[in-house]
Amino acid sequence: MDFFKQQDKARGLSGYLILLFGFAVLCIIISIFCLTSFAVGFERDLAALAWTLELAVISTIGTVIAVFLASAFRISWLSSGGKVVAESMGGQRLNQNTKDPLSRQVLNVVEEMAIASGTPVPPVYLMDEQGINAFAAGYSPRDAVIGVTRGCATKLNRDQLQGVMAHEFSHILNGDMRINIRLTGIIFGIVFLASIGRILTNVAYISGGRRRNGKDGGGGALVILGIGLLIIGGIGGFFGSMIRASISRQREFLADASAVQFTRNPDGIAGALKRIGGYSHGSKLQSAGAQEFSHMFFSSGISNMFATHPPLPIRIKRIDPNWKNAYPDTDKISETASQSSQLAGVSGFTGTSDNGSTSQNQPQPQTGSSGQERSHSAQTFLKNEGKIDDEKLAQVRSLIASIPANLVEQAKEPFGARCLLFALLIDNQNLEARKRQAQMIEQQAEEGTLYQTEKIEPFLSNLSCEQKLVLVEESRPAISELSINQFSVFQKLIVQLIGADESIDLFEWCLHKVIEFDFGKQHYPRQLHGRASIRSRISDCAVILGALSHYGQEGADPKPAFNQGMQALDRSGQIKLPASQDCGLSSMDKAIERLNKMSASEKRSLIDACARTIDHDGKTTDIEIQILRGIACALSCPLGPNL
Amino acid sequence: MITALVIIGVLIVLAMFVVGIYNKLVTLKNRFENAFSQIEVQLQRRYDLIPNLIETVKGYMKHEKETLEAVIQARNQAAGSLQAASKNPGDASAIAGLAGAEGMLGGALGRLFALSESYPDLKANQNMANLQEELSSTENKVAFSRQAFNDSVTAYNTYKQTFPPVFFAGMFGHGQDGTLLEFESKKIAEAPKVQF
Repeated sequence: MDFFKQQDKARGLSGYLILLFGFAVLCIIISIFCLTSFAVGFERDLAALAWTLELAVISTIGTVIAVFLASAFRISWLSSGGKVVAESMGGQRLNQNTKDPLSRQVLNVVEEMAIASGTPVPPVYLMDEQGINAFAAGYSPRDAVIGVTRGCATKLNRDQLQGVMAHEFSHILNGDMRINIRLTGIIFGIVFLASIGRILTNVAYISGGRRRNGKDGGGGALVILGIGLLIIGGIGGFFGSMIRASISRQREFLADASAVQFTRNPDGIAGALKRIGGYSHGSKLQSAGAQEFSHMFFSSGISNMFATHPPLPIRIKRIDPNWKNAYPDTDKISETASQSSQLAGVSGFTGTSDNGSTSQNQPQPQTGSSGQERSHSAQTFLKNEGKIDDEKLAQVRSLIASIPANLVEQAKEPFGARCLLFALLIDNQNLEARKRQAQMIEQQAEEGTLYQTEKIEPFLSNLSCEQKLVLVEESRPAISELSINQFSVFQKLIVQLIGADESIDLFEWCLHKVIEFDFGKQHYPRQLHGRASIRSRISDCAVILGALSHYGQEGADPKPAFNQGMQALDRSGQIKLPASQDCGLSSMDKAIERLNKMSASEKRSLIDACARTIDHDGKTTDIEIQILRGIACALSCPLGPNL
Repeated sequence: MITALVIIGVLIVLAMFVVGIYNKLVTLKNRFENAFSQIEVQLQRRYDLIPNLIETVKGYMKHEKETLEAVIQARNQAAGSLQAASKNPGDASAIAGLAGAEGMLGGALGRLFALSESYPDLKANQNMANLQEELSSTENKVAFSRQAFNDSVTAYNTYKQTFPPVFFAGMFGHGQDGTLLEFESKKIAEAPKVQF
């Protein structure tokens, strides 16, 4: 299939339909003008107004305001973020650190498609439903979420799952959710006119009944107006819904075509659609909330003029014109995640599956926990050899074991993790600042945060800097579960707590970098790497290495350490060691901003050079750890907890 | 007076139009440059995963030391070539070196996985299953980021060659077309072949 051509076609058609929708709204305004003109003709006092420009303006403004208010109300409710939708349908958010192979595969496929479509990676929700279905929800790419049914994960192979996810990413990328929410809102506004009409007729009927004995008043006009509105609203809503449904069907075609573009594999998405066709559960959803959001899903069962999705066979035919109308017997298929054959690109399937029940209680999991994974990578690129250092790994484990268990426990859940990070910033010397910090937490954080923070704080005073940083690392998964709003409150408060004593120490600086750059990157996606070279940023590299050698050598001569680092950047001797006052935190911040424009591997070379400077005296001081940590996070090259 | 106003109005509209073209050019260019760094990130991630794999496998495959060492060596070489290539993305020989090293790594990994088939304990190991999923996902990501890069380069090229941006592109320093990324031996995005 020529997916670019199909995309253009679907885009053109939906543009035309949106125009049609606007025309429908215009028709409604005109007919309301006619209606009011007709109605006021029955009123002796107002008869002069009929068919005048004045009335046209009044009725137009009235209609627009009524429709606008009603739809604004509806839109604000609908666009409350994809998270709400996913949760109202009983979705369970997949944790980034999950060890369940099925969830792992779903998350990986989503990440792959995020790369292919160039959108930020959205949170993923798994719904316990038998049917094969998926949805994308949210008003903009920033707050989008993706939902997948369990049936979708177990009944489709990896390529097919990829196709389905690519389809959903097309909805995110093309803003289909936004179009749909807006249209739904306007239709609600139009139908609202009918509700006004019903109220008017009721009022007229009641007052008419009361007046029956007396003179006939304005009842007639009111009845006409009411019935007219009822009819216009009804017809408008009917046609509006029809147009919305056909726009939605065009967007589905567009998404199918984009899925082929993203995966370059028509068999994936076509295979998924075929398996839905051959499945006894189809794409049906049991959840109560699902009906309301049917238009958001990958596939729907209805097929009439209000269907939000084109019929399955037509969708398959568009992707795979040679299809012979034969569905596979999906009931007998069951996929397991992580088959070794997938590595070879073979999509086979096995007869049995025990998804979800696979061993979760492995002793000492070495992968899956991102912290430890990173710890491997950190050493390996620092040492630039592929050897795994058992000793170091054990060291990290013993480091975690040496921290009081209740603290590690706190770091594992979102509320406790936030309290823990706040507690790390609480000043235990300056009483003034401490009071101010307590006030900030009380005012801005959730209820109970201050209490919990103060409970945690005493446990932290005995921890070494290294242990504290391990705790920060451990709290990452929990923090990543915060919503974007929660995170922005959290981040703001962190910045204020740091500034409470009007000075920034190295630990605060480091923690700020970790939170802003590393924890924050899922909510505030930014350009990670540029293309600049070390050569063009050598003076900024010198600032970083200078800071490490001035402050990290415990009073020894900084020059040899600096030169050792510089040697790693192939610039030995050319750049002089900057003065110590030029390597302060603010100079480092400025340097980091420029260094961020470097490419990923140049950044790694720089981190490598930092490690050499640190290793010069054979000792790693707290200061060095904190500087390296902060820089690595700010440059998006996170290290493991063992550095 | 009125003519002057009309002329000023037309000029403002024209200026806004040109600014729009300029901004679009910059946006498209940044998009594909970012896509390039994604490729680098994913390749690097792949190299970072391999030590984990060795770590998991090593306990089970004590007698396959040579294969393990071959993987480590190939991985280090590929990582080195990546650094060289990203310093000079335009240098064809650096890219060829990277492609070659990637091919070797793919081969070595393939042997490793083939051998691992004869160790039932290893096959049942959850870590191993996880790692295989991670590696195949990363390979997909390499391929997808290259594809996204090429798609966005095409979008950029197409836009600047169309009318009217074609008049302004050169003026704004967008004279050069973006080049599509094609590794000579095509090995870079290839998944390691595993024969069973």
